[in-house]
Amino acid sequence: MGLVKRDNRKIYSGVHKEKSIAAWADQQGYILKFTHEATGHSTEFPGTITSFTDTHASDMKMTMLYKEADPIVRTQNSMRKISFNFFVANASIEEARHNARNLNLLLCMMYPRRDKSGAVLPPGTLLRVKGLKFIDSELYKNARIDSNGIGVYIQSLTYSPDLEAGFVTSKGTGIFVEDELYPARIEVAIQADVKIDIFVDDDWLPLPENYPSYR
Amino acid sequence: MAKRKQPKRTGGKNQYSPIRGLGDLSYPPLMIKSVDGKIRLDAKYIFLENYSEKYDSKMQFEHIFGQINPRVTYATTDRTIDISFVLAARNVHEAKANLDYCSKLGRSPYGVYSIDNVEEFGDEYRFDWSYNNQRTYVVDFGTFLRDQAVKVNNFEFSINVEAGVFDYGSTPVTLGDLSPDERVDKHLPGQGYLGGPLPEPAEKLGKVLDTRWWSKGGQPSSILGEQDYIYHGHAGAVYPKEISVKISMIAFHARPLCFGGAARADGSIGWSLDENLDWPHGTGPLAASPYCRRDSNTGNAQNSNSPVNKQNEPVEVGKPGAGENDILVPEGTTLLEDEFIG
Repeated sequence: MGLVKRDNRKIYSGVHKEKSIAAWADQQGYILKFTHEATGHSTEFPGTITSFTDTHASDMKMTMLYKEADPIVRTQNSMRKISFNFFVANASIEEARHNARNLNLLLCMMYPRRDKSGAVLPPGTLLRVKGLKFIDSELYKNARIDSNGIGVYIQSLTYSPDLEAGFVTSKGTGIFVEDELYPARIEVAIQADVKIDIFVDDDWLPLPENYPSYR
Repeated sequence: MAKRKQPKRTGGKNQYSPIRGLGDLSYPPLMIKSVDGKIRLDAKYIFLENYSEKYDSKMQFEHIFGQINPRVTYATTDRTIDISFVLAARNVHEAKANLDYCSKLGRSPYGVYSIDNVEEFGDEYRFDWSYNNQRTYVVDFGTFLRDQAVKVNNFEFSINVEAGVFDYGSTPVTLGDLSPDERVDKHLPGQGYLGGPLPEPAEKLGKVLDTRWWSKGGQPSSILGEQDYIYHGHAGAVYPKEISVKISMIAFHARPLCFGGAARADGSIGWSLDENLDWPHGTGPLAASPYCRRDSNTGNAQNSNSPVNKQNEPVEVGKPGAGENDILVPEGTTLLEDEFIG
């Protein structure tokens, strides 16, 4: 009793798991996990990543000097952005309902936590994402960092069913007697700015030697 | 949503087999009505071509010299819904109904105006209009959209000409026993009917079919089946057999969407809508996810009329671990953390 507790949703493990991509994900350890930093809620999906791009960029201020071949360069800031797509597949209506709940939580994570007055509580919509090692933060040896993965501010999340794959349906069985309509396959596309976890490794500099690590 | 009346969620008005049959069996209708009740579109079974939802977080990133991370200020998250679908027509009546449907929907991106002032200049009047608002609609589409309030910001209508049209039935006929197709096949323009002229007076085929259709209340009957109403009596008009529609909508919600918030108890991490319902998509007969349930100390967890309270599903709740997300640094080290301004 009391307040709502932290909700940590796992991948599907119901009676139809043998038909599900979740069985393969479990076997291989291919799990994609999202954690909402402000609340601790988390949700998992089979790691069905179909594309991944990691961009590191510097915004540099260049001053050209008379008679000098090269400008004086000063880094204003550096940015890391990632974008990736993954899909959620439903092999049964039970799995579709389970995945709908997991996706719902992910969509809710696009919103921050607020207090009673409506003020946004830190760290806003910061999420932790972890999966398939190239979206991870555990690889930095000796570094004590967040084990829930890399911090991201998701700028854009697109939820788009793959209509060619068909639907799982059930007529009039929703909680409001609505018809259930679940896509057999849903594409999720994410574009995010990465928050660089700052920590001190053995050289006391904020970025470890193997940053960014992809393996 | 939890206390709302449960509407009958069927569709297919002015739609015919097999679209209606298939929809009644398996698929949800698309239902759109305005919040003020002035506009109510027929619940249609549609051929879904595309559906997507986009969540865009509006954040300001302020880069501070010397800091690795920017200062992030969250503003809002916009939710937009794009849906495109095909409306198909089996006969003239359905084609007309589809066009009427699109006419109503085509007005949705426009504002609502009222007459502010009327000035009279002799025999003429000059009107001043004032913009009132952008009409809000409520959309239902299975578990995708459940009484979702939206404003339509784009509507696109296109005719798939390749699929064909229902033509004006200009062929003169008598009320003989020939079927509409036979009448057309046996008629040679400028030469009359094969096998000799039909007795006068001859009426146009389209007019005959219109009369037959409406003599039975605009329904298929023994004198005109639903597949036989394929010509109409309006010279100059064509009614498309297939129409594509694209709608872009911006979703609106009664309360700010967030975890916690005004409707929740202090310190709650529950979903702000506090309706004992999953958001945004339905999850069938399952009870609401734990984070969408009501905090029991708000006093309404047990008293809710929501049907979810009749469900009992094992609650999968993680154990809050103290400090498990903490970042540890050597003593004496200053941790440069990005600042967040709420």
